[in-house]
Amino acid sequence: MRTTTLEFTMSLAQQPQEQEKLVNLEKQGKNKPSPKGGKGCGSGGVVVDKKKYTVKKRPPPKSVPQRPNDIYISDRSNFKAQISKCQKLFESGDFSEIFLHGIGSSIPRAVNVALELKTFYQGTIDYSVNTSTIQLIDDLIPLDDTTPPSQQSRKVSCVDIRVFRTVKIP
Amino acid sequence: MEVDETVESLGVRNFLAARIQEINSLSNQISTSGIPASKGLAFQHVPKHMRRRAVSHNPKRLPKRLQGIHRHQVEKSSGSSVIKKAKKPSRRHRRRPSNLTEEYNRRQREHKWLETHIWHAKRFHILNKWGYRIPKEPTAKGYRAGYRAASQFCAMRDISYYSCFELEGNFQLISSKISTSFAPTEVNPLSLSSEMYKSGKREGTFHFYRSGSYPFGYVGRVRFYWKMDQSSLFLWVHPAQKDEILNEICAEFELMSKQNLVFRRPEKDKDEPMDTASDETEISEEIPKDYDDAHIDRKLLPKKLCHRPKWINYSTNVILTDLEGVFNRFRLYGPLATQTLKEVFQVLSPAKLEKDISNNDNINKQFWWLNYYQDKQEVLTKQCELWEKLKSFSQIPCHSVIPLTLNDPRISIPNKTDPVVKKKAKPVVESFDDVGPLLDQLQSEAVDYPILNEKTRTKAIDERMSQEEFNKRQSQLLIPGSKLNLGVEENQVPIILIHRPNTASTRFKNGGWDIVLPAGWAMPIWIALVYRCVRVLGLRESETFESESGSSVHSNEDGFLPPDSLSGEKEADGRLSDLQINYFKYPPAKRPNFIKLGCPFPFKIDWRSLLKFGSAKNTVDIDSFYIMRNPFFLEALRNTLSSSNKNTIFNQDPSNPEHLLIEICLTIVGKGSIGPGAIVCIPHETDIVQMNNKVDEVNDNLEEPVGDDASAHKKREDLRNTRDRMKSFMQKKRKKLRKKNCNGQPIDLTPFSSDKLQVINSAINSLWLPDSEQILKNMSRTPIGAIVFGRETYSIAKCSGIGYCTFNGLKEWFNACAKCDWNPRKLILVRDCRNSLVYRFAKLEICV
Repeated sequence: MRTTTLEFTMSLAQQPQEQEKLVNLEKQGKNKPSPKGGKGCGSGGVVVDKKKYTVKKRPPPKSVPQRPNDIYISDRSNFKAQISKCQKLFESGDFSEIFLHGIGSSIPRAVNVALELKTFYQGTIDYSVNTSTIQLIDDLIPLDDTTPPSQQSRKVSCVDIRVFRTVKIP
Repeated sequence: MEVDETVESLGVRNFLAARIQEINSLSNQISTSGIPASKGLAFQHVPKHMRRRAVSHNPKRLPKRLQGIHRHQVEKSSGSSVIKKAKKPSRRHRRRPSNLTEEYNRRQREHKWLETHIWHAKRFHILNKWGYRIPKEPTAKGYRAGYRAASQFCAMRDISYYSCFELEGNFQLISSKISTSFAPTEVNPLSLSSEMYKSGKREGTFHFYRSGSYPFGYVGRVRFYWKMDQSSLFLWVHPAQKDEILNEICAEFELMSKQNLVFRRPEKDKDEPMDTASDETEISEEIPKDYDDAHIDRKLLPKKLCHRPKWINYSTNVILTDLEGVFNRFRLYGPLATQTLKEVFQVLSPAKLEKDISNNDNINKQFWWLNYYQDKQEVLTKQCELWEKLKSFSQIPCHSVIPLTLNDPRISIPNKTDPVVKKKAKPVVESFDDVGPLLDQLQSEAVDYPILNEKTRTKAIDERMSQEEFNKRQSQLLIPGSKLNLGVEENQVPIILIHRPNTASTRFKNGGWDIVLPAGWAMPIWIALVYRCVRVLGLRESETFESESGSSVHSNEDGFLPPDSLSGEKEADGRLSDLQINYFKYPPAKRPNFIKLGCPFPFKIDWRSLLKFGSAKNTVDIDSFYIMRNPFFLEALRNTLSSSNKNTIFNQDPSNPEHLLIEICLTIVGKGSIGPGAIVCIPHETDIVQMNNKVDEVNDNLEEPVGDDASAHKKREDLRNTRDRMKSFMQKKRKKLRKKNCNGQPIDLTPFSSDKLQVINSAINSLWLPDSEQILKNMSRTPIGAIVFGRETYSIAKCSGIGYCTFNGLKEWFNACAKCDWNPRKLILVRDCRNSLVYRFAKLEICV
């Protein structure tokens, strides 16, 4: 299920404040002990008996095949590399808009990429942000013979940022 | 006329005998061997007008009556090649289908072919391994392309060389015996009878140890799944470990072999006699005793699909069947794998079944699916629903076994290659439906998977329309290239899809699907997949993917067989001999001098000497060693090494710590590369300090001093001189002998043959090989382990490798790090001994 909570466009006036906020978020994100393997870290409020199960996260769903201008942001990749990937897409001339997708702990990273792109392109680019929730399922693998395998579902917040050119390039 | 009265009586017998003798001698004179050499050769007895010059090379120029003699004489005198051998049959004759089949069967006697062999033979370099011809790598070098395909698109491998066994019998008996004898709980926390595996809905793996030898006696990894009704267990075993596992299981369950023919020889050997008729009826009632599969069009493998070799225990009713060749298995990688499968596989729908039933008059006669699904239509509806809803790999619970019945994949093969990646992309990330409960229902309702049931499986293989027939039908279509509509005659294929989750979340995602299909159906499905642009990989990818995913203890592939198993030891020995032979082919000036390089293990890593070196008193002789596979222990070890917690696992030693190896994954920090045989060493404090001082550079001066080869060099020189002198001496002697011996009598040259020089040559060669114990002792940094496989890892853009460290060595290193804070990043040294003297820094990770 996908629940759209808010759809808002960051206005230029509000931008510096928001930037600070988001950079702080990112810092927070860095100090947090990174979750073991996996981007989405929301627990969804479910308690798993660690003596009975190991949690094996399934990869988050991606639409297949993907359009070239769909970029899934990961917390682990090099920040500069992600930005240059976006820049390449713009400079190739094929696309006037790209979509950045981030889940859970990679939301701050996605937002920072968008902001960085905006500062780089100095006003010729704007973004619009969608936030939503995605349901992820994990496998619970039993640690002993008597427990049956099961799965847990958790909701993770995700962000879709549409970065588009405001100035038309012939 | 006056009667001549000198002859009074005629002794008929005597007369006849004499006359017979005369006639015989006369005819002998005249016949083939009649003309003695002194009278002249055959071609000299040709009348003048028939004499020809060309007879010397063309005996057909002689009259027919003399050709035989001429041939005989020429052979006698010189045995020359005037006589043309029997003409090789023309290419066309050799390629006639029946002759071709015979030729292929003959070539398979020593090494078995996979069903897709011919396809691979045109595109791959093929190896002989484990009794099979296995495609190793594509002829077009494609390391990076293969990796790209497997990480971003879709790639596949034919792994049908894995052996499949079926163990029938009482569920409790089988699972308890296997769990207690072969699958110790420390290493395999989930037993065969656990809730997870016993329903047959999931495929499991367990580490197979020889009975009673844990922790030693590791054999290999075995994949298994139960049949839904728990009547039999299917085991998938690597071919290198097959014999060992077979022997162990037979010994444990007290099974006796039943005389059965494995392969039908093309020369039609006599069948070995079956056991008494009564046994036969007990076991395979449904398939008649004289069932002969000769009529089935199977070009490549004349397999006997029924009456497979069995091992039986009559008292406990346990039967082990060797199902080699009955199943094929393909392994798919890549995020597009699910989408590709959806394109290739059209699932049998209930609507089609109904149509077929109504079209088909005599249901009981034909077509396995009509009989089978007649009363199981709900299974088909569930199957269709599941297949429609399945959009992503992450919807399926891990390791699930999914039974499917497909329409003939040949029908929907596109005319041109139709890559999945070029399809129109969807703009929005959808949240996919939870398919778990639906799958559960399907698995429960399809109680008896058709492919696992011998009767239906054999029928499905039998009824496959031959490619020839299929092509004929296609050619008869009115509009060429349109979709063929076969109606009832369209084959349905029973398969199993096995889900394979990612083992490493941060590195290469090696998850995907395994397809298990019945024999004979490999090529249709293979071609269908190839036409969707699935990249085909070879055996070398099993190694590279294992190292990309960073661990071999709990990985999907069996890339390198671990050194504590017999099969791994054998592989290493094979590699040793190959490498050694190649080494000595180089001239001495081109060979890397392993003594100078300080390389203790140039060709094969001797774990025993490494363990001996690491043992407390350095005197313990290590006979056997083992690799830690207990997941809890490894997890604890990993936590200890990653945190600075001094309350460590090293406080309590595991059993036999001096025989223990731990698997590690090294990633090089900074410059340098590692390959197989690289030695892992503990750094000195000064090394780390030096490194830290240069902010981001790595110290290039960390070198091992050049080894001392002087004495060995001198010895080699001396031996070479001796050998050269001996050689020239022998030559002279032989020349003299030959000169002396003018009579033409055979001379005995053996006392002066150059074979005598072999002893010296081997002595020289052994002087090139390093003394590993000496070198380990004299190394400037303490060696604690070695790398088995290392190369450029694309998934992390660094050079990394997998190897093993001794437990004592790891303990030492950890204690050294914990004592003082000079090694906060916990770096370790590694040196690619076979190539260089320079030590490189690396990060160490325990493979869990």
